[in-house]
Formats: sequence, C-alpha cells, structure tokens
Amino acid sequence: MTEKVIIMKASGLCKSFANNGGQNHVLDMIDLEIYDGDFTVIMGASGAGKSTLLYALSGMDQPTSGVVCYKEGKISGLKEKEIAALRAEEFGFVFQQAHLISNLTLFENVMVTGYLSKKRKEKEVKERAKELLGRMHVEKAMDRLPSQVSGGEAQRAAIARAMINEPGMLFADEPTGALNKRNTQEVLDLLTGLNEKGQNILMVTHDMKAAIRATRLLYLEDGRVVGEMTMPAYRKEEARSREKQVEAWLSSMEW
Amino acid sequence: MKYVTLLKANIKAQKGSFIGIGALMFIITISLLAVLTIWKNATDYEEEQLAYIGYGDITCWLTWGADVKELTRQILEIEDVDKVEEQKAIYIGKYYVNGHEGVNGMAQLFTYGEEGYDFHIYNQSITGIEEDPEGLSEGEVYVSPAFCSLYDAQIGDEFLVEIAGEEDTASYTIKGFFEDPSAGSSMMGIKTILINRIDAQKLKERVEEAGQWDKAMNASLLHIFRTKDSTLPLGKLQTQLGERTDLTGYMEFCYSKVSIMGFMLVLQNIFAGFLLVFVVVLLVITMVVIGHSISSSIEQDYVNMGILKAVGFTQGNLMWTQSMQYVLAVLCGMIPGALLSGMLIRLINRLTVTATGMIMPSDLDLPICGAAMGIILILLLGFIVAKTAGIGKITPIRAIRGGAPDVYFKSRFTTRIYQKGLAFHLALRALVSGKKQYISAGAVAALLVFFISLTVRIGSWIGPDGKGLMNSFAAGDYDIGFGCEDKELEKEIQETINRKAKVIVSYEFKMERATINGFECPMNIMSKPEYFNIVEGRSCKYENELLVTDVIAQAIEVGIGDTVLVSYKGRDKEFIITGIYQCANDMGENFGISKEGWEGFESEPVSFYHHYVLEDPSQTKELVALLKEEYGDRADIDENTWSGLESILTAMQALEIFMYVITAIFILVAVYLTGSKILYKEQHDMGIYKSLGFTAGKLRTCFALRFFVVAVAGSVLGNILSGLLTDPLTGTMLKMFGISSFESTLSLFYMIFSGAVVSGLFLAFSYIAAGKIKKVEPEILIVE
Repeated sequence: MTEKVIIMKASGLCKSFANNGGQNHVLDMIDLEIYDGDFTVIMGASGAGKSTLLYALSGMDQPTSGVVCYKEGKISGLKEKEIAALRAEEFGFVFQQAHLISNLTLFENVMVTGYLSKKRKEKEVKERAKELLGRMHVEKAMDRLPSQVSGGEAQRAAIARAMINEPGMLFADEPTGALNKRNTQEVLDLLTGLNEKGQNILMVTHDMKAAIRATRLLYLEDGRVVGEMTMPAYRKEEARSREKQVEAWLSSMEW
Repeated sequence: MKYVTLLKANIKAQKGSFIGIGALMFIITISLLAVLTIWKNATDYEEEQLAYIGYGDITCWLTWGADVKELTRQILEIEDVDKVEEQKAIYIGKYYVNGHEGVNGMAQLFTYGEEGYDFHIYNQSITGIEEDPEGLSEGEVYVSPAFCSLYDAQIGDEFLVEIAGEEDTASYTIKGFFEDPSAGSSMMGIKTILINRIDAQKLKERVEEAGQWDKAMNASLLHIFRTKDSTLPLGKLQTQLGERTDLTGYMEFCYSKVSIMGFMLVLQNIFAGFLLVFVVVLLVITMVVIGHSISSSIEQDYVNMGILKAVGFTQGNLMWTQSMQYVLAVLCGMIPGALLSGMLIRLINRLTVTATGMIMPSDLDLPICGAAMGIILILLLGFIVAKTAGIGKITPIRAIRGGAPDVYFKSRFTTRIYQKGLAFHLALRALVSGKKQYISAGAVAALLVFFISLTVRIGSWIGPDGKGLMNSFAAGDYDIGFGCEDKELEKEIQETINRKAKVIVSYEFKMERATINGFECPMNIMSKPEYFNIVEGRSCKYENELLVTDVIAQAIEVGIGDTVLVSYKGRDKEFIITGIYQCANDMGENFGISKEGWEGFESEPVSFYHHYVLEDPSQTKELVALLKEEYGDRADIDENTWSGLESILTAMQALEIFMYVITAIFILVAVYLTGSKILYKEQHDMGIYKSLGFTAGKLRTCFALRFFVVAVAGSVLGNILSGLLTDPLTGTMLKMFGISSFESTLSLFYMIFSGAVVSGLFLAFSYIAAGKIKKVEPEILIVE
C-alpha cells in the first residue's frame, strides 16, 4: 500500500471571537492533514466550527493563531496578491448558494475565472468552460443569467467555475444545502466523478447523502477534530451500506 | 415620536448621503447668495452713489466754449426736465501715473470740496470710507482705486498731466483714493481725478493760456434731471435733447445714468450672469444626485420599509420620513451657506475694489436672497416628494420575501468579455447591466463638461490676449492703430509699419459723436466700410448709406432699408440703413458710415487714425513698442486693447479656476454618493470576485473604470451640448452688453482637455471611493 501524500496541513489552528468580555474558541488548537486524492468530508453539529475550519484552511478567513500549509507553502500570513493568486490558480470554491456574478451569464461566470489564471490562453479557456458546462449538463443554459436558471443549474455552473483552473483543492461548503433531492444527487455525482479523476475535495456537510461520498470523514466537536473514519472510493451500489456505516460512526460520535 | 426615531435611524444609516447633499447645497447657496447680493448691491449702490456725487439722469460732457446758460435754458424747455446743474471740469487728453501712460482715454479733473459735489474718500488700506477725510493740499490729488490695478499706483506716487505736449506738464502727488461711481471702474477709459481748489485754478489758467484743446480743455458737465413724475424713457429724453437743443454741437459725449451704470458694472453683470447660469447647472446636478440617492435608498431599504408597512406605517408616513431626511440635508447645507455668504461677499468686494473702483456694500439683500432660497427649497421639496413616491410600490409581502427582485434582465445590447483588459470589459458589462444606476453620473459629467466647455469657448473667443473681445468693441478688426496731424510723419510711420511687418489690410478710421434720429452716440467712420464687422445685410457702399448696431436699431426703432437722419456739426443728412454691424463700444450704442458718407458733413481736411491688420499678430506688441519709442511724442500709437481688458482676462482665468475647483467638489460628492450606493448593492458580487482570485486593486480599477467610461460618454455629450447651445445662450447674454455677434469655436485640444479633466476626476474619485472594496471579504458569502 502506497503512503498518502499530504497536500494540506494545519498546525495549532485557532479561531476565537470576543464574546461578552470573554473569548469564544470556534477552532481550538486543530492539527490536521489533508491527503492528496481524498474526498474529505467534515461533519459535526451546528456551531461545531465546520465552515470556519474550511475557510481557515482555504485562506478565505484568517485564523487567530496557527499555521496552514498547502503543498509546502504557508498560506497563513500571505499578502493579498499572493492569496488572490492562490485562489485563482490552486483553489476552487463551491458554496451553499451558487454565488454566481449576477450580471454575467453562466458561461461568462466560468470563463472570467479562467481568465484569471495564467494556465490557459483565452481560446483555451473558452473551450474548457464549454466542456465543463457540458460535463455539468448545463450547456443549454450557459448563455443565461443566474437569475434565469434553476438553483441546480446555478450550482452546477458554480462547480464548473470552481474547476475551470484545475484547482489543486476544491473546497465545498454545504454545496447541496440549497438544492432539491434531484439536484442534490446530480451535484454529488459530479463531485464524486471529479474525485474519481483525482480531484482533491474538502467538503463540509450535514447531509448523510453527501457524507457517504467521502473517502475520509472528520468529525468536529467544540472546535476540535474528535473523530476520523476512512472509506474506499464511493460506488453507487454500496450507497446503502456506506450510509449505515457512516450512521454508526456518527452515533459513536454522539451526533 | 415614531417619525423622529425613524428619521434619526435613517440619517445615521445614510450619513454619507446626508453630508454629501448638505455639502452640495452649501456650495450652491453660498455661491447663489453671493452672486445675487453682489449684483443687486452693486446696482443699487452705483445708482445711489451717482446721485450722491451729483450726476443727473443724463450727463453731457460739453466742449470748451459752450454757452452753458443758453443750453440750460433750451434744456429746461423740455417738459420732462426738472433741473440742469453745471459741474466745472478740466479735461486732460494725456496723463501719466507713476510713469505709466494713462490708457485709452482722458481724465476729467474736478475740484475737491466744490459746493454741491461731494465724494467719498477711502481710508489708506481702501477697506472703508473716511468719516472725516483730510482736504487736499496744493500738489495733491485723489484718484480711483482702479489706478492700483491699472498702474500699480500707491499713495505718494506721481500723477502727471500734459497741458500742451511733453514740455508743458503739471505734476501732482497721489494723496489717496476716492470712490468714483461715474468712471471709477478699471473697465472705463475715462478717469476722474480730484484736485485742490488752488491747483484747479492754476491749471485752468495754464490750459487757457496753452489753448491746445485737443490736449487739455476747460469745460463743464451738464447734469440733467428728469421731473419726478416723468415717464419718458431716458433714451427718448436723450433723443429730445439732440432734437430740441443745440447740445449736439457742443458735446464731447452724453450718457444716461443707465448707460454709466452699464459701463461701470459691466464686469459684475457679465460674471454675475455667467455664475448664475453655473449655479443653475449645479442645482440641476444636485437634483440628479438627490434623485439617484432617493431611488437607491428605497431599493436598499426595501425590506425595512415593507416591514414598517406590515406593522402599520402608511405610505404617507414613510414618504414623510424619507422626504424629511433629504429636506433636512438640504437645509443643513443651505443655512450655513446663507450664514457664511456674507463673509464670501465681503471677501469678493474687498478683492475686486481695485477693479470696480468702489467698495460695494456686503449686506445680504434679504428679499432677493430669501426669495431665491424659498424657490430652491420649494423646487427641491417638490422633487424629493415626487421621487419618494416610489415607496408606494413596496408591498409588505414582497419585502418579507426578500425585497426588490435583484434581477438583471438580459439586454439586447451587451458587451463581450475578453481576457485582455478584463477589468475594462467587466466595467463595461457592469455599466450595460446596471445602466440606470450610472445615468446620474453620466448626467453630472455631461452638465459639468458642458459648462466647462462653454467657459473655455468664451475664453477662447476672448482670446489669451483679449483680441476676440477687443474686436467686438472695435468697429473693424485691427492690430495697430496710429494717428497724427503731421502728414510727413504719417507717411514715415506708415512706411515703418510696412517695413517691419506684413500688413494684410489697412484703412482709415475715425470716431466722432453725432446724433442719429436725435439719439446722440459715437459715429464710426471707415475708409473701407467693407471691414466693418457686418452681422446682417451688407456694408454701406455708397455715401448715403450707413450701418447701425442691433442696440441702436432697437433704441431708435429702425431696421435695414429704413431712412435715418444724422446730425453732425450742425448739419443734417439722410442715410439709408444697409446693414447691422457689430461694435460693442458704448454698450453697442453707435453707428458706422463710410468716409465718403462722412465727407458730406465735413469739407475741411481732417486727419484720420490708420488701422492695420498684420499677417502675424504676434508682432503687434513689439512693433507698437518700437513705434512708441520712435514716434510716441509726436503721434498716438495704440494696439487694439482697452484699460479693462486685463481685469476681464484675470476674472476669466479666476472663473475658470473656480469652476474647476467646484467641478472637482461636485464630482467628488456625486461619485461618493452614487458609488457608495452601488458598492453597497454589489458587495456580494465583490465577495464572489475576491473568492475567485480578484485582488481589491483590480476590483477598484474595474469599479473606477465604470465611472470613467460614463464620464467619457457624458463628456462627449457635454461637448455636443456646448457646441449646440454656447452661441445662442452666450450670445443672448452678451447682447445685453452690446455684443450682438458671438460665434465661438473650440479646438479639439480643449474639447479633449475639458472631457479629460472631468473624466480623470471621476476616475480618481471613484477609485478612492471604491476603497471600501478592501474591506469586503469573501466571508460575506459564508452561511453558518
């Protein structure tokens, strides 16, 4: 068995907020490693600090203390230009809401993100944007504005946008939180498909249907990682058994 | 109480808009009240002071030898004349102040302390009137403060008059300055000097002895007063004086009180009119900004207002609260503006005393200022109430469901986005998507560029050396003029001019005073009448033809094709009007005839002035200096200039600077108000852009570029507007001052320059205003 390569590492990660004269530690001295090729899912009760951890790891939010490294480089303390370049070149984000730019079409939303990277020329960006939107099954809606498409279509376009620059890490914060059952299934299939092709994914979710797609599950409680479980790559026919397995694990975590 | 709570909350939430609108209203109020007060005070004070120094409704400057008693008798026979008063004076053709030759006109010397004629003497710092002024000792004179701006005169400087050429002069010392409402302005060629009684007597005797009346003359002024119940217009009375008395034969010139006031206040009136238009433009801009601010606020507070409606507030309650918020902002600008306008007026009056020659009162004219403020307030109130009517469309249910739908509809007109120049293309897209939001910024840019462009057009018409303006005062264009009695010398000067410069046109010119249909005014005589500045019709080719100005045509109610009677030196002759020409001399009250036409009156050989138009006008100054050096003692050499020109040019430059400063402030406030609303609305999109890898700098650039593009579009529109409207607007205004033909051009450079200044300011200020983007973090997208 080959040893897993660490792609992201957090040491002594803390995030605190002032609260009624005291300090509320949302993240409390977290040490964590994320491995290359994993579909990592962070779970936990509401207010456990899941999203805070995701955004602290992604550099979207600055931790109060601690260090986050990505591929040997420190994210913490980077200057604005450097963090912007990291977001453009290495990180992709999918939020609970699609968060598309309201005055750009789906195609343009994907394309503009591609233009930020130095990896491709304009023509190549356009081709890849079309291809990704095709893969996400939104090619027919690609010339529409976000306000003219369904929530599922918008979220799939958001995944295409996140993937346009072939990010080293795709961060997803409750990506199915605002979707109906059918759209949820489609989005999770897309993410699973991407991971199968080698895409690193770090996702925060409450949803059991989303959690079973993980190859590694982390459980967060009171700002600390208190549990971890690994699973083989997802296969549709094993969905039920994985669900039971995850449920059992979560029960052990007193979820 | 519920209103107060809401009002306080609204003002707190939108303090930026509140302060911005207050600032704009402050500028408008302070400028408007200052302009109105200066204009009204100057007019009233000038009229009052003319009466104080004894000037009548009409004043005639008589020549030497006039039979004053007989003329007075004849004048008093006119039913509308109440009384006639004689004021003794000595006219001086050439004088020097501190070594500088007095420009463009004569000086009239009055005896200080003469009974019935009092003058206000200024204190040494020219900041107020001396209550108990010292009398003049022998060898001392009082002069107008305009001498300070014209000749850099100071107390103790020499004032020298020529009695009969360079050899026969009388020298005096300037003791101080006095208020001269009749000719004190630096705009006027003629100047009044107050002299000691003994000096006056001595000078009179020397003038009498020299007998060179073209250089110095003992004469009188006749002040003619209308009866109190007379309804006869002054123009008509002036015509009757020409028709029913022998005044015409003994007059240097004759002006009504209105004309003197027009000459004295020409600068104030032109700039007051000009600034008034500017203030109106600023008011329109402020309304555009308020309109945008109200619409954005309603959109921004949609949910809150819906909730307030749900809990029982009526549409009227909410409209009242919103309106009051803006009315308060307006009042917060207007009240300090009104209070501080007095200071500004005092400052302007103090700074312009050497140009106007008078210390104008600085008290606010309450009826006019109150009326102006009331009108503005009512106008803005109506506008604000109309704009807040949009609150009626808010329904509680829609508000609770998330407010006004933030939907961008796909427009038929859209722009593509390219990798190269991404920030610019995104800016264009933002503009196309949200065009309504940027209309106000575009309108502000268009209006400001329009006005700057209008000013620059007028400035370029005046010309850097004032030539354009001078040409409108001259009957025909010219660069150099000279006149002398000696025929040999005349020939020599002509040869020198032709040797030193290439002359395109030369003609003979003379200005005399005559009456046309009884109306006394200057008569311009030209040997080549085709060089009169014709506005309409054709030139006066034949000896029985003449040209009139628009002003004269209206004053004596004649037009092209009409026959008029011209009286000159006791002879009458009929002429046909063949055209209207442009000459603003004497506020446009003059007419022009050919030399052949004039010869019908005068059989004696008379020397004319010679006017020259040079191929290269830049040679003028050098050539004039050379001619003055060689022939200055034997001939009058002049270039096409005028004593007040410097003041006009300086004022024009100051006006341009003032307008650029005000423009900058208005752009700053307009961009801040519009920009902050747009930024607030787009902070979510900014968060998304940042999460994708856009830097704050790139987003700020993109944001600023939107305003830049809008400003460029507005600038183009402003330049087009200026091209279409400058000539009719300015022409109408200048007609009041006798300039009937105004045609402006604007070089491509200035078009681009004014647009570039405004667009550049929009770019810079919007970039600064977009500094808030730095604080927008992608965390805004996080839903916990």
